[in-house]
Amino acid sequence: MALDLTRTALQLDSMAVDIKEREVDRRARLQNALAALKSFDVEEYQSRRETHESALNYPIAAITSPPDAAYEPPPLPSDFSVASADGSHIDVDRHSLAQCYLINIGTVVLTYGSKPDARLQAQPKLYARDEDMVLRDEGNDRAEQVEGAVLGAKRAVEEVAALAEVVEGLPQDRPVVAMVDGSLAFIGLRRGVHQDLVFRSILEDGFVMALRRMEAITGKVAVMGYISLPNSAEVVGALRLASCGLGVLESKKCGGPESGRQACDACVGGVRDRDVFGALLQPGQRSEVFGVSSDVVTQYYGDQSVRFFYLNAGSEIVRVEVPQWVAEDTDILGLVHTVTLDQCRRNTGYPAALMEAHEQAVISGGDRRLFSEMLTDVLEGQGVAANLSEKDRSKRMRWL
Amino acid sequence: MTTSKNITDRLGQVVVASTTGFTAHCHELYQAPPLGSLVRCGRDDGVVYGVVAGITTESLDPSRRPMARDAKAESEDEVYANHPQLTRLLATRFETLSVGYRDDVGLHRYLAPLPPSIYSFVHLCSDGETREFTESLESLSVLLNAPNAPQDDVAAAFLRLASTTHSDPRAFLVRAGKELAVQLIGQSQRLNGILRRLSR
Repeated sequence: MALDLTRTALQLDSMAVDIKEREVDRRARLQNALAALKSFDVEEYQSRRETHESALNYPIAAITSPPDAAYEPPPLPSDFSVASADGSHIDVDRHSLAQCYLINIGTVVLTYGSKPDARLQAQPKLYARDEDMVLRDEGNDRAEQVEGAVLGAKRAVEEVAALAEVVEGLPQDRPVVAMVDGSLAFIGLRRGVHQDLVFRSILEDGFVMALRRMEAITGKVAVMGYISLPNSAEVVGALRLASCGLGVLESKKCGGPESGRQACDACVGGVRDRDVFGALLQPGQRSEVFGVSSDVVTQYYGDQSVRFFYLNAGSEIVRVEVPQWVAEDTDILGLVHTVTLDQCRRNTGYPAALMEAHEQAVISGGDRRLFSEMLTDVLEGQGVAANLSEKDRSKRMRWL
Repeated sequence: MTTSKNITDRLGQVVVASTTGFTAHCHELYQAPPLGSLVRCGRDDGVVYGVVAGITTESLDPSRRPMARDAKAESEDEVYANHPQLTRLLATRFETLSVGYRDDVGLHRYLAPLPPSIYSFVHLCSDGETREFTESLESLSVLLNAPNAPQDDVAAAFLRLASTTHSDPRAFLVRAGKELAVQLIGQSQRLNGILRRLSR
């Protein structure tokens, strides 16, 4: 049956009214957040953070200097390259006898300046061996299936590993900014009974290793993660800890507009970081650099711990994440700032290199169907029945 | 005749092939031969000749349409320098009308028994090859009657380019005019239109 659009439309109308009402309240909270940002006491915040962070139920940023600073971009280098990698995958189909998955990684190098050039390529890889399908812990029986969120994380590792390989092969006579789409911090990857095994396999042995490879390159190389329309509220969390009218320990009960909980007069709940920096930053400016305060990063990233800043890219506020070694080098941080801005300006708001890497990597619906048909053909060619589950067969036939 | 394997004069490769013509994808953006050029593809034992009857440059991915960029750029080169990926995402193709072939027996100015293979290398014919091919103009009827092609412009461009390979271009064009008059009996308006194009 088709979706009942009449009933849906009525619910959409009701939702729009709610959003409009909440917007008035959100604006008042945004003013609270901006006031808290201007009067932020770094030392006092450090003290509160050290004492209370473990008891909080909301994320907070590590802030070591006044958070209301705004920086202009440095001049763009005359010659530079932007490398990017993105991935797409076909997940394990549990309705199929053939247990396998496919990861397609697109990589791009765009070179600007005296010798403009572009390199675009895609590399598909099929994983079907037993060791590909399961993460195993040597020495004990712990195992985790590679599918769903774990496969998504494995793909992210393949992306950054491919990026490292591309950047290692570039001439070192010009600066390079290596970009991935999304966060460098795998904070959302929490699943399975063997979480520690997943984190160690995915992060320590994969992602962090690839970041180290790029740090080791002699030339001027920066690595960054680009997050369009970020939903994070870690800086706002810090403002909440610093200024909540209910007090530090009670601040976790001080709710945003959706929580239905009590709110203090200075409440910043429901405000996102991008709202605050949208009001603070002029086009082209970046914010101060903050630290990701996450036990995942602390435990598994070692010397590659993640920092971030917000950038007014013209049409939106974006979040840029960089490893510690990028954040601590003023020149390289400036390179990230100015090149990210330039990439957005060249491509109507979103970095050109990321867009092209995505285009290289994307697996269309048609390609997915073809892959499925090829898989069936190959199995049948080997005399193996590519049995589908009855549920899958039912969905495909849709008979009356 | 030369069938040079030198890749420097290779224009591109066949991506669509049929009995009546083939389409080539250029190795380099905007490097199609001019309308009316004589090109060849295939190996020594089976060369197919075609006349360029249409040139297209477009997005490689039909779902991604080019859009105007860099309104403040001072030159078109600047637009490509600012977006180096464009040269990899756009493609130039040219369509040809098959006008003859060469086999072990010799040169034939009518349709080949088989079309060229996909990915056959396409080369621009040398002056000597073009001169040899246009010693007889019997293939002109293919150009004048080709469906879905700007027949008269292709024929005029072909003759104009071919004339430059002959020692007496004017004599060649006079001979071509006579052949056109035979081919276009009762179509004086078309004939005059082509002759006007040849005289410019």
